Amino acid sequence: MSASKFMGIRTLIIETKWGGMSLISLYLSVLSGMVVALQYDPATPYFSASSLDLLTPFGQFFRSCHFYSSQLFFLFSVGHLAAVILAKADPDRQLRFDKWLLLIGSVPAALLLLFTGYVLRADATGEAAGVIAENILLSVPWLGEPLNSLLFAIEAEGMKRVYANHLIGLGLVWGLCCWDHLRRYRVGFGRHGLLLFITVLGSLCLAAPMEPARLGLFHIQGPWFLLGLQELLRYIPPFWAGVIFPSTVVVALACVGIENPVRRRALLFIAGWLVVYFLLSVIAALR
Amino acid sequence: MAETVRKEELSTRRSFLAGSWSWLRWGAGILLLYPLFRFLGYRAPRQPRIVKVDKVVPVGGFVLEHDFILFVEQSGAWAISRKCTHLGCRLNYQEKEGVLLCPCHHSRFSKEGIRLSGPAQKDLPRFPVATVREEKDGKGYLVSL
Repeated sequence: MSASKFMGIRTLIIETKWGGMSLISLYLSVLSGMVVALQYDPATPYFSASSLDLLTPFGQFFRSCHFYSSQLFFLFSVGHLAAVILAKADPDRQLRFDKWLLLIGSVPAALLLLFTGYVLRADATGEAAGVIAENILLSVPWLGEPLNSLLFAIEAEGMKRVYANHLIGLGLVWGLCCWDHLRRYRVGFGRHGLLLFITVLGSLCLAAPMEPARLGLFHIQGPWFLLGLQELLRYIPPFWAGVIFPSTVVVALACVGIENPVRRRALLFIAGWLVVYFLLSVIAALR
Repeated sequence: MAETVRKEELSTRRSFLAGSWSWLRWGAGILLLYPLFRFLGYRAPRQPRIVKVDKVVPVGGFVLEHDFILFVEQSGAWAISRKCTHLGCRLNYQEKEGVLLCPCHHSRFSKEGIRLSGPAQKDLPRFPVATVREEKDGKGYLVSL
């Protein structure tokens, strides 16, 4: 790729309003999530989620709207992070390390919010994702049991704790991590009319995925962002594949907030990590 | 001069006390996590669950239930868990090959619950089965989970 083309892509990434779009998608996700929560019952998660699609008037629309806006929120947040990293290559424009660290804390929180949404629908994918996450956490020495009790405990408690965390706990953690950052920015729905229109129209036309558990189901693909992890879990023990491997990229992201040469090395590590993860995801998708 | 020294002493004492107070608050906060995790980690003991399979399965047949799969052969009936010993996904039975397959990471187990291949390391748990033959209770099987 020529240098000018690379600079063009860099400028495009930097100048796109990722943060604003992410926030608008989050607003839409929270609003539609509140509507969905009024009908959803964690005691009968699959029945409840499928009833939303099949029986409740406009249930499918609200569930789809919640699903797609949440996906967009996460994707735009990642875009925003990439843009910030690219724009702040200049050391004078970098954030203070403690503030950066707090913001990076919002990445796993957002990922867990998205993930618990998948688990809560309790279809074949959701059910499998939930038990896998629970068993991965339980593989952590000493901290596994308390962490699982705090986040999932699906085997013992069903969806109760996952629901509480999806609705309140993880949102609160995300909010705490981003509060200082977000209170400076205001974003109005009016400025992102096209995005709103496309999300709402998409939700009307495309139903959010739902895969019923059935006899003869011999292959389940996890959520798109966990495909690489699913593949990795075939080869190495859960603790290394499910805890250490993902943690390394979060640590590297945190190190991006430190001055060079640490920053440069962390960025190189992240690039390598993403390539490996992408390849693993492709292998998993082709199975 | 003496007054300056006194002021410095006071300021050192004050900052020491303020620092200690801050550490104490952090310590108290961390200590509060202990009861929280003890509370969250407690599991009320569960009664053993007995599931009745309300049908007579022919020899060589099987019944797929939510938590187990029941096989019936000449030698008798047995039930094995459908929870994969790798990461807990629900197994399905491939009748043609006579194996249980995990849909998540493709671990394979025999009808007897023995691990054949894949990332799972342990065999599947086996549950006790009692055959019910009395007409008044209806014929079938009782599986203790």
